[in-house]
Amino acid sequence: MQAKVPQQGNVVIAGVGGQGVVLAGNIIADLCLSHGLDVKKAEVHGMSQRGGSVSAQVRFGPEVHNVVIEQGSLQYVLGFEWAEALRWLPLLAPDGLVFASSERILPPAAQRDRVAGGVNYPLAAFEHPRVRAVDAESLAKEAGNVKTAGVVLLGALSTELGFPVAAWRDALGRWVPKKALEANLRAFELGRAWQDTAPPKPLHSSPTQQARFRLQLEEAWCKGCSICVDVCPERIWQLDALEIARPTAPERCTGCRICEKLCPDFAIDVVREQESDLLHLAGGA
Amino acid sequence: MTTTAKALLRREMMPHILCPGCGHGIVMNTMLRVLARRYDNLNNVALVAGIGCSSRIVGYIDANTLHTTHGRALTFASGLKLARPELKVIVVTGDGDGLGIGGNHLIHAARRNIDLTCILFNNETYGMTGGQLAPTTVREAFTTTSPAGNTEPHFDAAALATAAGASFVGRGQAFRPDALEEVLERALDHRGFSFVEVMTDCTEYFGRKNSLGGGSDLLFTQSRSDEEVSRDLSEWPSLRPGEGWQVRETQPIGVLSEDSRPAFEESLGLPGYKRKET
Repeated sequence: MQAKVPQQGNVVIAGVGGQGVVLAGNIIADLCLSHGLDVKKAEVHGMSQRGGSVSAQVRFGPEVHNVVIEQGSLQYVLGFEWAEALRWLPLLAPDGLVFASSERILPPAAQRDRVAGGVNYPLAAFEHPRVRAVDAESLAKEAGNVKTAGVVLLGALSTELGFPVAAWRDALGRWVPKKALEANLRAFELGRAWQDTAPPKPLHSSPTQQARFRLQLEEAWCKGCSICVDVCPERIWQLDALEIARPTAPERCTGCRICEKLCPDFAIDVVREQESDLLHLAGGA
Repeated sequence: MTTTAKALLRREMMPHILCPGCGHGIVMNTMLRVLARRYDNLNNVALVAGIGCSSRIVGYIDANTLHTTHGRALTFASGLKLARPELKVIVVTGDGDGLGIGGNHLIHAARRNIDLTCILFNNETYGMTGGQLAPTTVREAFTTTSPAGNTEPHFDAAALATAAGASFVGRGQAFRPDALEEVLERALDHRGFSFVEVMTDCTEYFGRKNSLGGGSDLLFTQSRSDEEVSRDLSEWPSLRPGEGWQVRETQPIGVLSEDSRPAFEESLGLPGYKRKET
């Protein structure tokens, strides 16, 4: 059943840098314009380069005077990332709807604690009656390109925001790169069938990282070139007075292995310790 | 370095002679990871090297290794491969060794399409002998023998190998070890002459003489462009030629060309190779 073409609406697309939030906003705005509606669009970006918040607000109707969406009047949220979608719940209208990707990207502010359960990812909101979790990442992979996850969510939105499907597809065609159009159209169709494929609740069990990593240093081999000091995203390595690299805060290691791979002297070894080992250690202590 | 990769080292030889922060170590680290993934032991792998810092690294790897004369690694390797076609022969050479002294051997090995993998470490200078001008030194760069800056154009090693007929040509960087891993894997899979140019750093000569810093500073100069145009490598960013900075040119990385013309061994019908007409 095709819902009728909406005459006005407020949509927020929320995600992190690089997910195509602005592009998705443009597609919706274009779609509304092609139906002769007035559109105002506002974007918040700029802090986005390393996974910061990006959002786009689209308001459309016969005449729109203000870009700001008032509390209680937000009708649709497309969350390209789980937590980013949740930020908009306070504005949601009572009959509003959130389509949130179950993909989780830890915000930079939480990254100091991104090891081992340091971050408590807000899963409870899955129980919110107006939130629909969509496993957009897997559907996008199925469509052939993981970057089309946003379009999967647009597909899900299209089942509620009743513009004609052909108009949606035309708008996609105008905005996504030509060579990726086919995958995007597939993603759109998979998104339209979201009700059949949306993951069951609660979403696959909490993936808080349990692995810990031990940093081993072959001291005699280290020549103090400081490459590890400069490349570690967690700033774990420091040179001591003898210019030998020392891990200052090994508990922060996330196991990216960039130090190990870029060590010209093979001195660093990042050893993954399984959860069971940790339990064993805790039990033995 | 992972335990399996470390097991391929001759531990009694470590630590190696390479200077602190030398990019060669990173490339060797990557090579060992690739080898460790492919082989349990290196009994059927032969590493052949010429003279130079890059060529020294074969001495630290517990494979069949041959340290030969300057520039002649490919000739020794060709002979070895034809006598023992069952061996996987990998040639480790540098830009001075492989393009300067032994440039002629490189183009003829490529022309024959002999089933070897040649890994050429390009640090844009002769490191071991004192930082002289190499055929890969870019214009305006300072070296021991170009105190007023280089005035000559340089070789593009990958383009040279392609033109000479190498059936697989790739390029990697010490700065992007994962991408390099993928290129090396594909080079080792390839049947025929596979040539991989790896951009690395000479901290002591090239870095110092050109005020580029050592270790990580020099390494980071390989990341000069944000252009994400990849050549035939799905995930990895590539660099567009001409972008970035004048002294260290940024060049595309990835698999640059690949074809399946018969290898030299195949045209001879050597054991283990199905005879194919060239």
